Amino acid sequence: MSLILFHSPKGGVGTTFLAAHCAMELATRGHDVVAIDFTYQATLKLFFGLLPDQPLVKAGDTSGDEIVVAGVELFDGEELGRSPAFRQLLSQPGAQPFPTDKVIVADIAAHDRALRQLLMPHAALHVVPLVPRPAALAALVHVDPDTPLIELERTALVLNMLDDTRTLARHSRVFLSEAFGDLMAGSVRRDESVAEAIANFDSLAKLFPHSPALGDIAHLAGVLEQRAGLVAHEAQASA
Amino acid sequence: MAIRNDVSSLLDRIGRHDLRYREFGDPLGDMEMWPIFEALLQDRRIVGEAPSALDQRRRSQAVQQRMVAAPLPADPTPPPPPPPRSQPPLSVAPQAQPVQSPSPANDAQVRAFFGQLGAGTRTNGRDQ
Ligand SMILES: Nc1ncnc2c1ncn2[C@@H]1O[C@H](COP(=O)(O)OP(=O)(O)OP(=O)(O)O)[C@@H](O)[C@H]1O
Ligand SMILES: [Mg+2]
Repeated sequence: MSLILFHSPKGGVGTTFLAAHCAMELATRGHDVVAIDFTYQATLKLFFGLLPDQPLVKAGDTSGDEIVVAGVELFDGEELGRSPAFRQLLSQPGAQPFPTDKVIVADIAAHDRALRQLLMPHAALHVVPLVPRPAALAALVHVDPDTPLIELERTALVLNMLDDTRTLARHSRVFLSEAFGDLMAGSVRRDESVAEAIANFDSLAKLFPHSPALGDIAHLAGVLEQRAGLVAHEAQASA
Repeated sequence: MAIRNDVSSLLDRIGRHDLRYREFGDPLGDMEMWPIFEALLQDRRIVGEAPSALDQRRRSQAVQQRMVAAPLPADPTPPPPPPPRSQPPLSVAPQAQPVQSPSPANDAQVRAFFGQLGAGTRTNGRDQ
């Protein structure tokens, strides 16, 4: 399985940003990557340098041309995610609907934990973005409704918008790695060029190739690749 | 409290001398988070089965001590991967909840979607 979910119980923490850039980074690492925007905001494409009025291919609509940006095939999954047929298929015992030869990155809105729950049995990894702010940390109790956080096996916490000059951020990072150890997959620095790239309708990598956040994501993607078992998969494929 | 020069000249200009003056720093940047850290370490949804009060106190004291001992990095580089968890993970994700019955129109859409995903390599294009 190579489905990677990006979902946080707290909104506005950079879930879409991280999903987009991890997808691009995984494509750079040679994976065949599909990114599906399951949110109604449809902001995933902005991080690929597309315009707000540029429609993505609707998941399930085979009539148009595919859209591939930075090596990532993009889909608008908003309707699909709400479709009862999709939800029913996902909840069928033994269903294995996702292809194993592609890495599928899913951006799921914070409020849509129901979709996260339905996709989770099919996922190799659930990435939970957080920010060093009290409300985001408090929301950690809602990552999974049934299983305590420290017992989750396929979960990776990522601390985003880190500003190490601030006590709050440093303490949050130390706390998360001390308390949750292996669950912490990495951190991504706060970087003003992220917003600047979007405002210019261009990709961060093109406008600010030396962006600190991008550097952190390159490192993070390597960790996620391991956690999602993609490295072994690649090695097998090339063997 | 001493009033900053720029503030006092601004107040002079707008003719206000009745304002209570207070200097604000970054309101959050240097906030102390220990109360919330401690609350998380005692929450069953985070740490699982209700630990004894003593266990709880030990756990949060241990983390607090390690936090104090941990050198805070001067340069903001990503942290090295932490050592493996000593505690074996216990369970996997729960079974999904059943949802409403499917509608035929949506079935076709769902099939088409998985067709799209499984449509071989990109160079072949859309070939299912
Ligand atoms: N590391 C970062 N540095 C600076 N800005 C960032 C960073 N990560 C995200 N942002 C900015 O923060 C804002 C929120 O990011 P994003 O939309 O990815 O959050 P989200 O969690 O998906 O939000 P929502 O809950 O609305 O879906 C965006 O404007 C994004 O550009
Ligand atoms: Mg989002």
